[in-house]
Amino acid sequence: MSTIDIFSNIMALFWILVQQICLCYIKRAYEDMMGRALRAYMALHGAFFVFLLLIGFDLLFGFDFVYGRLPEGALFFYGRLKWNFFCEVMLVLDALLVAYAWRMYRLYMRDGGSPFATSPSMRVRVEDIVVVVVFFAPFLWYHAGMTETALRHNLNDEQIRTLQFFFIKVANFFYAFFEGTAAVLLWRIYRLVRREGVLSHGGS
Amino acid sequence: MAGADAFFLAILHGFTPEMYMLITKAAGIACSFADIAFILLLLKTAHALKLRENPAAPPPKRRLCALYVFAALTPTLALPISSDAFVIWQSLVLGIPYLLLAHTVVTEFPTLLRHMREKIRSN
Repeated sequence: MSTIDIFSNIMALFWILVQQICLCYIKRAYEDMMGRALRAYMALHGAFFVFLLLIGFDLLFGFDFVYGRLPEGALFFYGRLKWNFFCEVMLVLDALLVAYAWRMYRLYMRDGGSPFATSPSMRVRVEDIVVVVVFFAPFLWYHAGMTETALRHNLNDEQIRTLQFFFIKVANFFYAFFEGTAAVLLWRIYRLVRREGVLSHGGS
Repeated sequence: MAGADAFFLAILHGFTPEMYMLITKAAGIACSFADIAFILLLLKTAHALKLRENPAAPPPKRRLCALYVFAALTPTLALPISSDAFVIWQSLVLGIPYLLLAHTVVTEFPTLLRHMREKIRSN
């Protein structure tokens, strides 16, 4: 594994960690508003990050329990697949962040709160699972289809890499869209906060 | 099956290295600006709320200054550099604002949360 690949994977883990911190905070705030506890959700996040760390360490140090069992030609494919998986995780976390930012925005604007406020006992919301499934299904479809095509047409490493890069580039557009949407929502909240501040201080 | 094959083979024909770098740079710049705008707004919102509690609350100058610097650096992602150099440069231009984001969320969220609770209670 090249130095740049190791660096990229460390950065991916760092980005995922920051996204998880943000998601945990916004989720905690939202559930707090709705009067719910969410210890189980935090534990789930922690466990998921440990899982990602294990994958990361596997990538960095090539643990024998995976690498030792792979044929030589599959190593390259495996490494890239894990990188795409990290990208997909980032995308899902971004989507969840925007979903919660939207709920918080609606709550703030007092237009009825979340339409998803259902059972007080729910820790992981059904719609969160829907977001995860909706975003992971294309990932699975793409990589399964790509593998079949690669085997059927005997594609070389370079061609497989091109297909894997294409997936990441499509994901990049979604990142830009989600992050832009989150910024717009926050901008609207900021404007409202400023307007309220001006009103409460009599325009001073 | 044939449809999937045609789809993947079409990508191989149409997705060139030049296109790859172009999309990488365009998306990198868009993401960077969106992230910086988000962090900037988060800081400004938290500061606007703090001003209500303490009208003499100082603005987070260092963090704002760092964000403006990285916003100014973002267009440099379009410079013609190699793919590896781009990864390192983008990690720097996006990574440090991300650290600021984590720090801002952890330190400023209680203010935001307190304000939201008050607002909802008052409505």
